[in-house]
Amino acid sequence: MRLVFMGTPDFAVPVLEALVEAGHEIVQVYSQPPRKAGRGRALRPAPVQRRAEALGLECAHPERFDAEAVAGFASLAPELAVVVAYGQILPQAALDVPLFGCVNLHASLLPRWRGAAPIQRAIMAGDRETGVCLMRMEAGLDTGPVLAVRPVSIGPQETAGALHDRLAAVSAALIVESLPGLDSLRPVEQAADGVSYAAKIDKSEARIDWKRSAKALSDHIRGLSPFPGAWCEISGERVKVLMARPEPGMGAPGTALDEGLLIACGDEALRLMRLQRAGKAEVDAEDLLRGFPVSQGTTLA
Amino acid sequence: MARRFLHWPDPALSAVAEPVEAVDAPVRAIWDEMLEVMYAMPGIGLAAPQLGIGLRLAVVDAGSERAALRLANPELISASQDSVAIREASPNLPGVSEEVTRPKSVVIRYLDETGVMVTRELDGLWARSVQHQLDHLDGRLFIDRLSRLRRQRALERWRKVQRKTARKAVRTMGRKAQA
Repeated sequence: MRLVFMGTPDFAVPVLEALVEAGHEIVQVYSQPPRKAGRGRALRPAPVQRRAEALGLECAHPERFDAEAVAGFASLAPELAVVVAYGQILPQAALDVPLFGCVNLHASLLPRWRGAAPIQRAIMAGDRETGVCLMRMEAGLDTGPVLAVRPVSIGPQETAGALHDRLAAVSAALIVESLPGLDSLRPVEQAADGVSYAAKIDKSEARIDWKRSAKALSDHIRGLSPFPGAWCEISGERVKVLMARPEPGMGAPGTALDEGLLIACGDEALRLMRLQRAGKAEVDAEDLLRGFPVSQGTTLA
Repeated sequence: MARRFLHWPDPALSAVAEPVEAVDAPVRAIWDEMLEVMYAMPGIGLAAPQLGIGLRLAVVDAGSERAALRLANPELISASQDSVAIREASPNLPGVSEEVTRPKSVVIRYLDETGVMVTRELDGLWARSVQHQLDHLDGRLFIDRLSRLRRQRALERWRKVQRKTARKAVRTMGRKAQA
């Protein structure tokens, strides 16, 4: 089958690799164009583009999927397009190009967490299960009928980073096992109830609000770990909290209840376990405290 | 409750069940009935053939809060290398339980209640129950997983239990007749 692969970030890389490894013919890869990133703000190609080129595949990166891009896509005469976190809206004209249509892998149990940040949102909401859906693409945002599902349970201490890597591997397995029998999979319309949207993470969300419950904050911290990282101010310095665990304890929200970073929340308390000061590497709490003691009664903001 | 458990050695328990064509209202109704029967036992899984329904349908709920899996046409995709011995029993063979060794975790594929194809990894009691149900769909009871000797011993015990319940029934009937 003549495949086209469309994807951009790290999440899509294992899927591309698995398709190549399974021996599928990938006639073209699409990714978002190179963006300014890192020090010096140099133009940096997306992870999928880098991997595709390393694999000897041609990678196109149109700024927008306009008429010209659709024409280029059509000239490839693809039979199927596999789309994973591409980050571009495909117009109906593009969706109609491949003989067998376009399929999309999405990292949630649809219709829950449609949209941009399903992995982080699932953890931040305290979900205990998520997964990957393979769906037929429609013009709407993650609204297409579902062809196959792989549920995955979320560990109580699992971070978004760890879950991201697991779901990327599950996505790769799901597409490889689904492709040979794709026409036998019955598309099932998503349920009308249970819909939620996983909005992009806004920087302002990352600040820790100690008035929330310890459980909610620990989910919030896990869901934003390692990126962008939930943060608070300790002694006037901005510190990222990458892992924390609820523990019994009571006090004014934000107050250190001992010398070991047990911080009072809206209810109960939170033991901060892994942190990162600005410009430094992430460390366990005891290592941080060695050079940066936080005494009992200190108020974190 | 409309249906009862078949009792071994009913030949229907040894038959291979038929796949369902689609997940529709009748299939959902069977699942609901099976769940009612399973929770009433109480049990952690049930396969349709146990109630005399020759379809590849099963329910499993091995968790602490009610969250059942409804399975149509389930298949075993893979099983873990390491196995574990756990005691199993069946309402189709009352009074007998035996330790059965099976893989610790499994990956199964099935149609869920919306009719979509789901691939799911299960471990612990979930993995155990689903393997037990898959056997029922292929006409096997847990005693068919035992060595010949252990199987015979299990069946002797079952016969003994059967005789005892029969005698008790006769005595109860006798007392009722006197009263």
